[in-house]
Amino acid sequence: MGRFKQAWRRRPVIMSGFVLALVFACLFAFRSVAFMIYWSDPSHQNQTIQGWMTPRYIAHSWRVPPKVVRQALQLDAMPQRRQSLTQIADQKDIPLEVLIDQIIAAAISHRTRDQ
Amino acid sequence: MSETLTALVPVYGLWLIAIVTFLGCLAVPIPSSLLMIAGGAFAASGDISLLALFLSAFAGAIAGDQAGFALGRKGPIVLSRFKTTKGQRKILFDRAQDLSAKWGGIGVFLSRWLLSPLGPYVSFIAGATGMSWTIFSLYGTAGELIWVGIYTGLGFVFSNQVEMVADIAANVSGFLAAATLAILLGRLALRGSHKSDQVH
Repeated sequence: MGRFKQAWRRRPVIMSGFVLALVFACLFAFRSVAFMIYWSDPSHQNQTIQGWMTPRYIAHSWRVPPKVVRQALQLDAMPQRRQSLTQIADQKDIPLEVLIDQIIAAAISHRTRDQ
Repeated sequence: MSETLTALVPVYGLWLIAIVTFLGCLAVPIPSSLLMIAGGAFAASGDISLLALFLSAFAGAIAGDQAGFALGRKGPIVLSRFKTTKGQRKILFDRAQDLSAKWGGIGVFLSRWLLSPLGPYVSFIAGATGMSWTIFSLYGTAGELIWVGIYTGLGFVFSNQVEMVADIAANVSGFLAAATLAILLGRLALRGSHKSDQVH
């Protein structure tokens, strides 16, 4: 312990950095474990639809044909320029939540029709 | 902020990725790992090309490393003052130079991917301590290949679990970097106190 006290006296800046790095290491270790536990729960693994996603990405992520998402969004074709859901909602002047609900409903009805 | 940025990936695509990895390699606090994961996921769904994504992230990272190295070399007067002053700061600078000469290549390589949060600072230090540009570039390029490969690959493979991969990867890499920094600083502080005893 004597060496540590001495180090504090002689190199306060480096020792503060050392303690800070140690605190961050513990924090990140805790968060890593917490996230692994959270994500190992299968009910958390269904990726919710969010504004940053593109129609094609949603189709891929929900394993439905792109056509299903396109129809739910009432798009004539997949947008030429790649667009996020937020952009489409803005253009159509429809709240994002409404669009998301439409896509989920379409995806679910597509799946039940398949079975 | 990160969700807004992620939404811009499919829209601005490759330019955005290149700019973000460039800035990320210069210690600008920007979630470049997350964006590469998102890019990989968009590549899996067919929105952007995986090869183009890889190349633009790689180009941005290499350019960022080179800029960091150049900044360190020609860089701020603060750093050059270390060289002239005597006493403790001189000892610190000399030790950094020793470390850089001894572990330089490996340090640059590992700080590109395994300890990526430390990357920008290692680039600055490598430039400031006069590491050979060839060594820096060779090890740096090899490391960036792995860094870009890992993150775009993770996004591509786990394209349905972008959030999960991003959460876990960010915290594990944060842990590795913080733990390494703690070990290095701890050794520096303890060894430093020992050495200055001999000096006095």
